[in-house]
Formats: sequence, structure tokens, C-alpha cells
Amino acid sequence: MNSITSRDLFNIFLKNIFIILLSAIIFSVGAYVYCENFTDKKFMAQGEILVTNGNIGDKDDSEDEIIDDSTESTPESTPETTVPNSGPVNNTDIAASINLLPTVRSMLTGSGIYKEFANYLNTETEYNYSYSQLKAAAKVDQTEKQSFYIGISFELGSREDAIAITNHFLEFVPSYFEGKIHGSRVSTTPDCDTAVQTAPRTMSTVALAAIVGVVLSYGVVFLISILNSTIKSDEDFSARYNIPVIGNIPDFSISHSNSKPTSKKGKRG
Amino acid sequence: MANTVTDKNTSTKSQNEKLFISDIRKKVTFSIVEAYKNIRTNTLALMTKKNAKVLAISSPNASEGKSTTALNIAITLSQLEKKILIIDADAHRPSIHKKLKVENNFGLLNLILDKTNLNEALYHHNDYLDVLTCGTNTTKPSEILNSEKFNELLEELKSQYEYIILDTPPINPVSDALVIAQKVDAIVLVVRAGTTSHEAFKKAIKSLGVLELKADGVIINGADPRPKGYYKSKYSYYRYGKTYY
Repeated sequence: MNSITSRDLFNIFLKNIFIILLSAIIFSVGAYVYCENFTDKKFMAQGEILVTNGNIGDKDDSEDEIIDDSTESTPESTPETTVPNSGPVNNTDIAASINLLPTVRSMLTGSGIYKEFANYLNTETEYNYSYSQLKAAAKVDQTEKQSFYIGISFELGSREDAIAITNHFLEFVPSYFEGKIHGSRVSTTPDCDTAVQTAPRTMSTVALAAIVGVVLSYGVVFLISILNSTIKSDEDFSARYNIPVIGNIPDFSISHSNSKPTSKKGKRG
Repeated sequence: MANTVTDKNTSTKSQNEKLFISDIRKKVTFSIVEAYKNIRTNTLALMTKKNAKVLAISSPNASEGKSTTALNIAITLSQLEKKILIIDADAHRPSIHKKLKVENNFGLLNLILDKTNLNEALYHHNDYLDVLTCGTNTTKPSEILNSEKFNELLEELKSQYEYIILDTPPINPVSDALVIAQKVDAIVLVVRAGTTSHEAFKKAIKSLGVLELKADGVIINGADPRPKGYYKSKYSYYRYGKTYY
């Protein structure tokens, strides 16, 4: 078999470019239809929880603000805050709060909180989710390791549910933690009002499908091309044999499609 | 009974006869006309160079267009007002008579077996082109073509015509083509683009090589007519022309 050069590969691509593009389009459309009609959509709404020891008030705008023993702090209170600052904050309090984080995270990833949250939802709201559904939907995150904030999100099948459940959880959480960790203070970010679609990832799926279509179709035409051991053209023939080509008879079907009236620029000879 | 022909053009074609014969289409494009004229030029050059009078048109396998090509070459040569004879030597699948829509009662095989005479067997297609169909014979065509009588017939015909074109059987399936190849002055093979495999072509060349013969030229049938390079942009003859007929 003759060696195949990169130029050969490119020529194969050019020669079959319509098939390849068509395959990419078909794969893309198929992926889009699949994403839109055959997959369950999921939406994620997110909020943040701040759990500190009782001596630290609510977070103000400056996350990096650390108040030392000598400084009195009076952070601004916002309508969303749950506990007003009740005095100076020292590094001990900060350290204590940081030490709370693993416990809080553990509680957020455990089962108990979601069992109680499920009861809360069933009794206090119109939503009816089981404990297992809530636990599966919940994702706990921490934006920064040394940050007091712990991100919590719920991924559910509708945008409205995701937002509502997240907000209800943010309402539920303060009483839960303050009941479990005596002396703690819990505050949350303001009401979440947006949810992003997390599944299916239509655009990335469609793009990936297009790439797969291109690769697969090119692979097929490439295989057909290299397995095609017929004489393809006079160039192909002349490259292999030392026999003169005394003529090329065009393919009737192709030459008919090229049969057009004389160009306006010239006259027929 | 002789072929039902006369000296004049006896086909159903009109005075302005169709230049080319095609199994597929009745209309012929400018590009095909030019292709055959090109083949004519090259064939004449080849024949002149080899001082040849008898040309065999064959192919590695069947259905690669050799009969149509042979007939069209003969027609284009006759347009140069050269006395041409085309012989259908494919006893297994004679087709020249079908393309010309004439009878095949008496032809080459009958002539060799002395069952007819030359005047009865020949069909005068026009003033410059005569056709000798294959004829009918059910016994051993290979042996008939291998006979001394065929050699004598060819010698007699050489004196009457400027060029003789033989449409032979394909080389690979049957041995007749190799028998005929030893009696001609030049051999041209027809291959069909996208159909004839390199393996089949090499086998045909090898078969000729065993007899110390070689193909003097190749015609690529069914080639992609779209021109490449310079001619694609400006002087592409393939962009010109309505249907020729």
C-alpha cells in the first residue's frame, strides 16, 4: 500500500466535505432533539449559609474584614440579617467559628437535616419532597476554605422548585443550627431568585455531537478511500504504471451536469 | 443471407448522424466529443509511431466500455476521411451490431470458416467506415481466431483499409484477447475509473507480458470531467457547449 501523506488526508476531507458536514449536522440535530425531548432537565439554585459562634454578628460587605481585640465593630445590619452584632469580636471568636465549619458541613451533608427539612416542607409549605429526594438534590460547597460561608444548592427538575426549595432551606437552616449548636449564630444570603439549568448541557452536547459526527464520517470515508483499490483517475494510474494514458472519457452523468450554455463572455468556436 | 445493409448509411440515423454511440444516453456533451477527438489524436500518433495498422481495444474485465470506445474511435477516425474498418472480435459477447442496430447473421467467424464472403459480411456504416460484426458460431471461437485463416484475412483487410480497429474480449476472463493480441500491431486497454481494480489491471498486463506483449496505451473511461488547475478557472472547455446532438 502506498504511504498516505497529510495532503492525501486533506484531499480526502475536501472531496467528502459535504458528507462530513452533513454528518455533523445530523449528529448535532440528533443531540439537540435528544437533549430537549428525551432527557430530564435539572435546575440548580444556590444560597449561602454563615454559621458562627454566638459572639460574631452577621457578615457585612467586607468578607476579609477581621476585627481584632482592640477594635469595636459595628457592622451594618441589613434587613436579611438574623442576629445583630452584640459586641466586640475577637480572634478567639473567629477561630471558634472557623472550627465550627467542619461540623456544620458535616451536618449539611448528613441525613438528619434533610429529614427535618422534609418535615418542615410538608408541614409549613405546599411542597412535598421526601428526605431522600432532598438529600440527593442538595449539594454542599464552600467557596473558600477559610470563609465562614458555606454554599448550599438544590438541583431539582424545575426552575421554580429549585428556587423555592433553596429559599425554604435558607429559612429553615437558622432554627435548625441554632437548635443543634447552642450559642451559634446562623445567617443566610438573601433570597435566591435564579436557578441555572445544569442538565442537560445542550450546547456542549450538541458541539460534542458535531465533533463526533465529523470524526466518525471522516473515518468512514477514509477507510473507504484506502480500501478502494480501483483506478480512480489518470493521475492515480500514471503514478503507478509506465503506460501512457491516451485519453480520458468523461463520466456521462457528471459531464451532463456540466453542460451549460456558452458563457456570455465568449462565443462558441 | 447478407446483413441487411446497403452501401449507404443504412442505420436509422438521419443524414446528420449522431457522432457517438452510447449505451447510456442519446445526447452527447461537448466534453465527450473533445475527449474522443483527443483520443483520436493520440491514437493516430501511437499508430504512426509504431507504423501500425491494426489496433486492438481490450480491457482487463468485462463491461468497462471497450466496445463503445472502439466504435467511437473508429467513427472519429473515419471523420478524418480515412478508410477505417472496425471488427467485432468478441465472440463471447458481441455488441457492435447491437450498438449500430444491424444484424449479425454473417461476420468475422463466418468469414474465417469460409461460410460467407467479404462483401456479404461487411456493413458500410458510411463512406469511410466499414463494420465487420462478429457473426454467429457456436463452436470454439478461440480456435477459430487462432487459425491461419484469420491471419490471412487480416492481411487482406490491411491492404484495403488504412486502420483496422478490433474490439476484443476482456483479457482476464477469456483467452481470446491474448490470441488476438498476438496478431495486432498495437494494443490499447480501456479501464473504468472507480471500477477496474489495480489488481485486475496488473493481472491483464502480466498476461500480456507472458506473451511478450505490452499495452501501448490506456484509456480511462468514466473519468471525472471536472478540470483541475489552470483550465478550471478560465479556459475550461467542460464549461462550454450545449448537448452536441
